[in-house]
Amino acid sequence: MSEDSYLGAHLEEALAEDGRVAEQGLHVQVAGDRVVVSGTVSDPERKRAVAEVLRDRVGGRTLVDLTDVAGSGPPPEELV
Amino acid sequence: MSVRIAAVGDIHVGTSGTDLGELWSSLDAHADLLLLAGDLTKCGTVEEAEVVARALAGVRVPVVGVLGNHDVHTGHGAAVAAVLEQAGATMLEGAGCTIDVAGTRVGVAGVKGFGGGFPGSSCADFGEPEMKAFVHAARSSAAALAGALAQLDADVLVALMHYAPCRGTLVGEPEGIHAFLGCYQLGEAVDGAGADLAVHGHAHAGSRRGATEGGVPTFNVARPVLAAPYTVLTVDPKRCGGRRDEAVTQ
Repeated sequence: MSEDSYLGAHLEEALAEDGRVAEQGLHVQVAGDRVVVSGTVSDPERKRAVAEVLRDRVGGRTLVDLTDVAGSGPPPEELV
Repeated sequence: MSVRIAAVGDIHVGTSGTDLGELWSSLDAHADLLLLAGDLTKCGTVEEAEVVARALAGVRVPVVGVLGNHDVHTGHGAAVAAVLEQAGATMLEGAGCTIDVAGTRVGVAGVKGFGGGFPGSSCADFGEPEMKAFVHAARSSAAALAGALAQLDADVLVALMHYAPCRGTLVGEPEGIHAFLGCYQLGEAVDGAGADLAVHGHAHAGSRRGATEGGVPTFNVARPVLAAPYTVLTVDPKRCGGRRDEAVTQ
């Protein structure tokens, strides 16, 4: 496990534990000077909070936010 | 007549953000009841629960829910449940309820559930006290679900959980975290009761459909999976009860 991977794990934990985000399903990958975050958050405000929490911790690295906001499309239907 | 069950979990409502009430405004036209599969709040505060309660105010069909791990995060799970009950929801933990939908009795038994893993990679009651406590939590939750299901006399029997009772709906999640997303003991409880369907959340990157080891259709209704404010499960009561009839025959 590289030092980048350790940092990625610490950042994922921060996203779960910081009450502004509190999302456990986000993936953070650190590659040199880039920090890439992906996964789904509940609303646009939570997406902004992801960026806030990470910016506090990544120093001068470039943050790439690939998170999605949970969809509000038509309800999918299932037959049981 | 079919029963239309709306279901969603993992809405993670904070004190501001998306107005779920608006997203649920047309729900009554599409469903006979609404199941909430836990993680209704972001951090489990009363203030967040009150936002969910306001969203529920516009829902006229019966609402039945369980809490998720987010809802107990700050240690106020009982208060969160109380706020939702005040808003008209029936919140279940090791208990069940029966709802009459135009003469069809829909029984719902619910628990939050817990992790523990699935055959081939499950945790055992051995070693450190912390590990034993983890396993005990899973087993006691599954036992509570089995007990609640056994109490229900219904035409359509539904098991409602936050954690997953099978692997099928976890496809898409890293295998390394499956033991934190659900446990096979919940599936054993669902199968043992001859439930007609199982509904859960928690696995945001999982799959919508799966089945327990016993073949009970299982739906992961985590909102990130649905990409919608809820799903609608249309259940034909004539196709239900078969597993319970088999159990009686045996």
